[in-house]
Amino acid sequence: MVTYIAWLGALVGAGVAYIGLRRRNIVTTVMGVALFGNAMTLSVFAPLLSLHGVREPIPHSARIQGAYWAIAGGAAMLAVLSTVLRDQHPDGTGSRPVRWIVAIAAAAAASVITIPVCLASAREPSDDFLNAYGYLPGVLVYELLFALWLGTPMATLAVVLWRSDLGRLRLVTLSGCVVGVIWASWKIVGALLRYVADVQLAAQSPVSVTLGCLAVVLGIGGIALLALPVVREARAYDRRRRTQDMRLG
Amino acid sequence: MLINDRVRRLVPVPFVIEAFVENVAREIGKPVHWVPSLSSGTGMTGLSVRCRTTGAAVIFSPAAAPPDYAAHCVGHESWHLLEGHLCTARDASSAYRDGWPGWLARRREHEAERFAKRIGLAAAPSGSVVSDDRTRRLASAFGLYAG
Repeated sequence: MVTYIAWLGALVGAGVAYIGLRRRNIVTTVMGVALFGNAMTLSVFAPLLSLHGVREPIPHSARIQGAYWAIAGGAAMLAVLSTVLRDQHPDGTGSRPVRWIVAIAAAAAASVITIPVCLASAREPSDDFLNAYGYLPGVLVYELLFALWLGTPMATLAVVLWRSDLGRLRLVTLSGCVVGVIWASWKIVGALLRYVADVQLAAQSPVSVTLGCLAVVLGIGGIALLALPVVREARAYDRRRRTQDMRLG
Repeated sequence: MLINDRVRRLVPVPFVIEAFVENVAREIGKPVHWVPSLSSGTGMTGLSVRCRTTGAAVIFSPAAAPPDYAAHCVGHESWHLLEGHLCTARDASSAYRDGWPGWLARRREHEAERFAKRIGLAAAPSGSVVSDDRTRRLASAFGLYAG
């Protein structure tokens, strides 16, 4: 079930990227990559939330792959939002997003290199990763990086959506972002508790992947919902135009 | 692809027909005038004529058209001007409605209509036009708005 949700989200992301490519709009294309990356992250961790209650262990390579999708999605989202937030005057002066994008790319590259190193000591497949390996400093760094790459873009998007003028439907995506931020916070608190205080979390807790699933459903589903008024308006426009053709032609 | 590039380059925000026509004139490098004077019953909702010697163009649209409809008509005719389309008496004859020339003519019209719809939607009273610049950029990032 979670895998299907993840793939549906990936399909929406691919659709947005396709629209961007067709319109030669790099920002839309990168947004599609961001949505695709986030959905693919969920697909990697989907075996941890099964409707039948059977959790399958996540192999080492899949865990790294999941983190890479999260980094790709997060970096793409932050890059897009830095272009949305830029304040440039018509004469070309003002803050430019380029230096932000370079910084984001550098942070992403550093994370890509760091994550396999962090997970070098946690190679065995696990369905309860934090309890099994949470005492390792490398795993703490991995968990923090992973949570930050998912949480920071979600928080930024939430703020941008809140301040935007996209109507009430934006609240669906916004609530997905809030769930995403809660998820990242849960991840950070859990990892810190495990590492610092050696607190064992409830075995096989489904909270993490459930929150991730909700974030994808609300976040990406909300964007699909935002498209509805645009489609409705285009149809209304066609109707108006046909009427005017008959009246004025 | 070209349509999207041109929409991005030529559509002013907020949309004003006169500013759009000025942008079209700048693009083709010749003066373009907009005259909203067509009467109903003529069978025409848009027409553009171009001077052979100076290249100056005049776009006609219905006198009684609401703004988004006028923008659509001006957008349609602008596309023909931007693409350098010329029509002759033979274009309208039945011989040119079929076969390859007919297909080309229909394709031309279809492209002009696609462009015109984008212009008309930009001029629509609600929806596609979002007031603040950041929201427009965000909607564009989601693929909801072509600006």
